[in-house]
Amino acid sequence: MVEELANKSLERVIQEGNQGAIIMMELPADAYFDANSDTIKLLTDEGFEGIYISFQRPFKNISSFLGEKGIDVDKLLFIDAAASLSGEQQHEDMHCIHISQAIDIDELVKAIYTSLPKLKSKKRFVFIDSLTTITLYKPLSETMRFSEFLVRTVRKDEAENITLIFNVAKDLAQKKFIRDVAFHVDQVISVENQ
Amino acid sequence: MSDKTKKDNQSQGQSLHQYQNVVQELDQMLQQKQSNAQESKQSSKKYDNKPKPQDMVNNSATGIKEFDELLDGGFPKGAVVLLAGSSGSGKTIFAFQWLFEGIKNKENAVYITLTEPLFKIVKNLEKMDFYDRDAIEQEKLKIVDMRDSYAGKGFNPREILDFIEGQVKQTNAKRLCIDSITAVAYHYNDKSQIRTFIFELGKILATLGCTTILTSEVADPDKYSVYEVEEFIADAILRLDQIRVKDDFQRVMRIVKVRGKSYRAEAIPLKISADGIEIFPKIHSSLEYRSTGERVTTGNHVLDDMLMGGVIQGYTTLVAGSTGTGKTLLALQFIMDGLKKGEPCFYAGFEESKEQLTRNAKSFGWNLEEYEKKGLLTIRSVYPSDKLLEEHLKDIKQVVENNNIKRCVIDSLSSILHSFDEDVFSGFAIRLNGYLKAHDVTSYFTTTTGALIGSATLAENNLSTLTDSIIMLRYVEMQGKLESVINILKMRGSAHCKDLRRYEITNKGVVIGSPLSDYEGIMTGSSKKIHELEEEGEKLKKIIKEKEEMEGALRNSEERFKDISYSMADWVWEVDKGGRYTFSSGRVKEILGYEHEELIGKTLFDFMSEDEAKRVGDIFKEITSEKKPIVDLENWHLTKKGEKIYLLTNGVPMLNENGELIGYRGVDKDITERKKMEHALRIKESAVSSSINAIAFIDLEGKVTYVNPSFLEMWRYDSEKEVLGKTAVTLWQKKGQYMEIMDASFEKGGWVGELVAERSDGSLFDAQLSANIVKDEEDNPICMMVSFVDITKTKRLEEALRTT
Repeated sequence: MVEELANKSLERVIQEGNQGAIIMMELPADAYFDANSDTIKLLTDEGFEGIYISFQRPFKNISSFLGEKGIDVDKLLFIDAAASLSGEQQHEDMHCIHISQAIDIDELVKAIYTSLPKLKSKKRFVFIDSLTTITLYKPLSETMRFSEFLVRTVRKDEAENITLIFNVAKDLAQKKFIRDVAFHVDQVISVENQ
Repeated sequence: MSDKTKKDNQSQGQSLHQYQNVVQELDQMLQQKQSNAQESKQSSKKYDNKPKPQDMVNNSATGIKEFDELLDGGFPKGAVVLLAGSSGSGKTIFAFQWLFEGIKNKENAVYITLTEPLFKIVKNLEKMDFYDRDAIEQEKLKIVDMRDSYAGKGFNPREILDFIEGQVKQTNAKRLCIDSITAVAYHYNDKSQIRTFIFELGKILATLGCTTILTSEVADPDKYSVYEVEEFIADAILRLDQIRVKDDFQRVMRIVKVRGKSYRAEAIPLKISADGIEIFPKIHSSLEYRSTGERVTTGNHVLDDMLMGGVIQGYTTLVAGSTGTGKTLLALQFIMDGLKKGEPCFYAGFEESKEQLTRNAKSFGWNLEEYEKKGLLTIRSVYPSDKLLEEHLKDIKQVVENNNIKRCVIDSLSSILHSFDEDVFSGFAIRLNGYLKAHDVTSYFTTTTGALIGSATLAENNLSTLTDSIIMLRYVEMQGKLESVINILKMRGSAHCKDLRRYEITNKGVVIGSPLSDYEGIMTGSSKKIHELEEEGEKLKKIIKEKEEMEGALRNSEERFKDISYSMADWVWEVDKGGRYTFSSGRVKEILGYEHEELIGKTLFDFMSEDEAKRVGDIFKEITSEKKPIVDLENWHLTKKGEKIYLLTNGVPMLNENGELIGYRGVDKDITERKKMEHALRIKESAVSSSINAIAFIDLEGKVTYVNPSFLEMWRYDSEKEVLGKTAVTLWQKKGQYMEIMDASFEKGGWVGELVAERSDGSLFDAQLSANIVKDEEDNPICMMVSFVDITKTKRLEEALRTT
């Protein structure tokens, strides 16, 4: 099953103590949402707290979806870059920072930077759902700038490991570039349909 | 031989071998340096105007069209190119333009940076038209930040070289850029380490068969590398700089060396825009123009006649004239003529907008837009300062070649001149002229001359020698009106009409009239009909003759005046209305003891005593106020020695054309002696007058001319009027006796005796008489002076005594 494959790989990564790693998940379109929720569930069950950056679904939508999957959403801080994209109403919530319509990288960076200290657990993650969306909406230089920030954030202080996980569409043409050049990914988890 | 000796020999041999290796390397370095110096001194090959087809197999094109043309296709494939320049000179843009050009040619590429974050580099590239996002994302052009790979691990040269080699091989890259080699080598403290690294890099690059650009950050325009080693592995060296031109900075590129290729060593202007890098090498043309000798009509049949059928095909014609003389109009007539014949034409304007030009043309019935739509006419309007000169030339070249232009107008050269340095403009004008002639384009160049009227100057910038023909348009004054005149000043290789013709600007364009053969002075700007000139000449001669006669008469008059005045006067003078001497001549030195120059600027009063100055000043004031002449004014002056002299002054007022007094002109005569004589005379007169003896003067006719008061008393006359004019004989009793005495006096010069005198009342008295004849300097008698004493009492006494 899709979820099991993905989780097994991620589980291995976590068990091997590869915290502070940069992990890219290549997901097929039809396994997309479940793979995401299972990844988050695994992490939160393992005591991780994290930031969920959503470009796909607005906060209200994603938080209730994750809640339905039995995920403790109190362990998550959301950065909603999807509501403004789709033109939906932005719901104010103490667990969510909304990003303007333009997917402003500066706003994103600030949101992540201010959110990280709020995570109580020593085991933290940043989850980007999904990088494909950024590459579609933003020039390459902005994607690279964002990745530069994330990589520095994850790698700067090894005492407090932050695991960065992001997903890309399996058929994304530039995934190699993202993997090798933009994010210097440590681990690629490729989810297959079964 | 002992083991030790063997060992020593061995180690010595090794040392020697090492030493020989080092010497070999040094030799190679020296040879390389000499070779670089020789190649950079090479003079450039004459540039062939025809662009050669790009040889893609053996060359690595940059995508910069003119640059690839200069190098016959681009860099040699597999070459190491050192791209040197200061910060901001365009090295990275150049490198990427070349890398992306490779992607277009299906050559993968690697870009390795140590200087800037990748996202910043990509951000700058996103503005450029040659940027290809897919190429980067798909890693056809792999961009690598070496700092990410080696941060904190140290810069081991071997690992760096392996890394570079690895990147090239992984990507199967044919093009590589290391930006910058300076930054890589900077991490090595040891110079020998740097040298080793660079030589090894050169070897690896050579083996990879990858064309490589190494950027070198060098501010000094005379240097190409920081460590002076990078040049030795380079097959080509380019230098990018920014140079100061007046108040602006201009980017330039220099090709310092390209092995195996000819190149031009000049500083080539360079521009960076969204299109990428553009360079503007000088367009050179040879003097080998073909010339058919065929004629091209100008659109004006009279002008064609003046040109013996029109301008010669392929010729350049300078249309010169001051502002408003119709240069553009004449040029448009030329263009319209070509368009009507179906010839592609080009109007390059530098002064007015295209809209204004087409609107103005419409007023003459010429529809330029129609021909533009047909593709026959290209109009380009741009201010000269908007582009570099070579850019303008390149634009013109593109239009000419893309449209197979037959006729061209450049309007105007003078506006281009005003925007650039004169020497730069001269080069441009020569190249433009040569290019158009080489492409057999019949061209008009308009230029504005400085003078509005009169002789126009074409000497500046050698324009007059550059073009094949010159048409002059000028304003001339004719019979009180401003007229326009046209003439052909020059036409190489052909006769032409020498006439000066009047022309008008009408709604049909320039209409040229008949020759102005009966006028002269047209070229000066002010003309006159010849017969008028002849008449004027005669008048002038007459005036001159009259003037000469008048001057002669005046001279004579002056001479006469001088003669008279100098004969009458001792001193001739002129004073201004303030009494200051403005002129002096004559014997003033003898009279006053002053030189003439000492008088000038001084007043007459300066040579008088205070009292005399006041007296004369009052008289002078009265006289000048009424502009009266000075008549016999006696005045005394003080000489330089302080002696008193008397002058008799006469003068006339000098008036200007408005009748205002401007001074006096006069003469002075020294009357000092006369005054002395008068003075003496007065004394004598006083003596005679006051004598108790009666004294009378009698003229030669016997008439009384003077009597003193004693005489009047003695004869009992009341006034001298009663006796003056009377004959003296009436004064005596015995008239006859008196006459005898008179005769005797004249004969002997005098007489003394007694006579009985008869008073006015008839009474008699005895008088003793002493008569003397007064004579002049020539001893001629003038009169007789007689003095009398009344001796009546004495006589009675004597008689009384006798009686007693």
